[in-house]
Amino acid sequence: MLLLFKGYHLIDGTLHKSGFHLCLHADFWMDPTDYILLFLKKFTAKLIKHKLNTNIEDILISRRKDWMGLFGRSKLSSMMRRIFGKKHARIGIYGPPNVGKTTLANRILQDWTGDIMGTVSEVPHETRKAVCKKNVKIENGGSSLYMDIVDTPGISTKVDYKEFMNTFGLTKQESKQRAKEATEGVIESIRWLEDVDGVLLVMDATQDPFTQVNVTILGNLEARNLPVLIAANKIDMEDSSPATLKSAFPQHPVIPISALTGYNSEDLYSVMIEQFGRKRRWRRR
Amino acid sequence: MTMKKAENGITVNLVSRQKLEQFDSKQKLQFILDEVQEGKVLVLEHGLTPMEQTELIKRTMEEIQEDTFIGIEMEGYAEEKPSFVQKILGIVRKPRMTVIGPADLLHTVSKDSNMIQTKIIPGKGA
Repeated sequence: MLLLFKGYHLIDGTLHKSGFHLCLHADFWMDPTDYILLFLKKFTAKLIKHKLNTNIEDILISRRKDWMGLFGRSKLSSMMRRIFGKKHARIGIYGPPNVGKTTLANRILQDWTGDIMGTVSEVPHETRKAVCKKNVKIENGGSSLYMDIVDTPGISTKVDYKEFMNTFGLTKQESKQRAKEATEGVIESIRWLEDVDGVLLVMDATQDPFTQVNVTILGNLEARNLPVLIAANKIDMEDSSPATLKSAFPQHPVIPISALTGYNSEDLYSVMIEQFGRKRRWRRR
Repeated sequence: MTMKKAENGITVNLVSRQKLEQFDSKQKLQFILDEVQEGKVLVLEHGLTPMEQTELIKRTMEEIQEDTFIGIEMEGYAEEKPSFVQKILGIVRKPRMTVIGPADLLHTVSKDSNMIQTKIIPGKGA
């Protein structure tokens, strides 16, 4: 960690003279690790006070006033994102089976490339292999982001071939084949978590959000420090309740959408650019 | 490993924190999978981290046998969020109670922030 302050830089707790006149402050970054920066800031302030007999706050305030006077806060954060933000991100579309992941992937591709991602079906585990579409450019106002979009198979804790036979009328052979491929699909989805920069987590707004799969995926993403955006899908259904989803996961942005009709997709794209365009400074794998 | 049909009821094991702490993650998941594949329901005093849960799902998928083991049912509570001071001090709170069982034996009825209600379907399990 290197912090630069008014002609001095701090490396491993030691101050060195430097030609730089640059100041980074934790507030410029919106990140869960802010508390670490806060700790470092306080530690550094004490050290600088001790070594230089100068208050770090004076330095920070004077620098911030200079910058704010020139650009204003929103323009400043936008500028910082342009400087440090991402231009390209690989986004995984995750969720349990039958929540509309491929429908949403198709919606995104149709809106921005005219292509489709895959077939959809009411039979669970229709998508059994991950599909990746590269360089999908999503724009909103003056912002844009290139994304590799990965449509992943639904994650579940069980796969029973008899369900495909008894509920959906597939033959025994078809059901067994589908079940086998579904288990492989779940494994592939989990492996893809290692290779995505962010996750669009699709939930069914007509269902109880506190399923173990939802909670497990979210916990995993939080542990990896991956940015996540929850798409509360199927709000075209009468019994949908996106408010329940919002209250269930207040720590994450939740966008109510209908992937089927395209309702509210503009909001989704706007938040996707905002959420996935940020540059993360560290990531736990 | 095949699931045995229950003849004298269903085994529900309450697994203590001390027992779980004897294992590393890999051993813990193997222990859980072995027990569940034998048709037992486990109640863990300390649950699994999200990374362990994900790994358990992956391992479960690798173990599924179409007529004998269709997967697991798992419900639990995540770890409580650490406070600012705990984050600074590196104090990690462990996940709370979790119930895990064979998917064709254990069914979740409801879950809220205070209670997990499950139903055990008799006829299978150990």
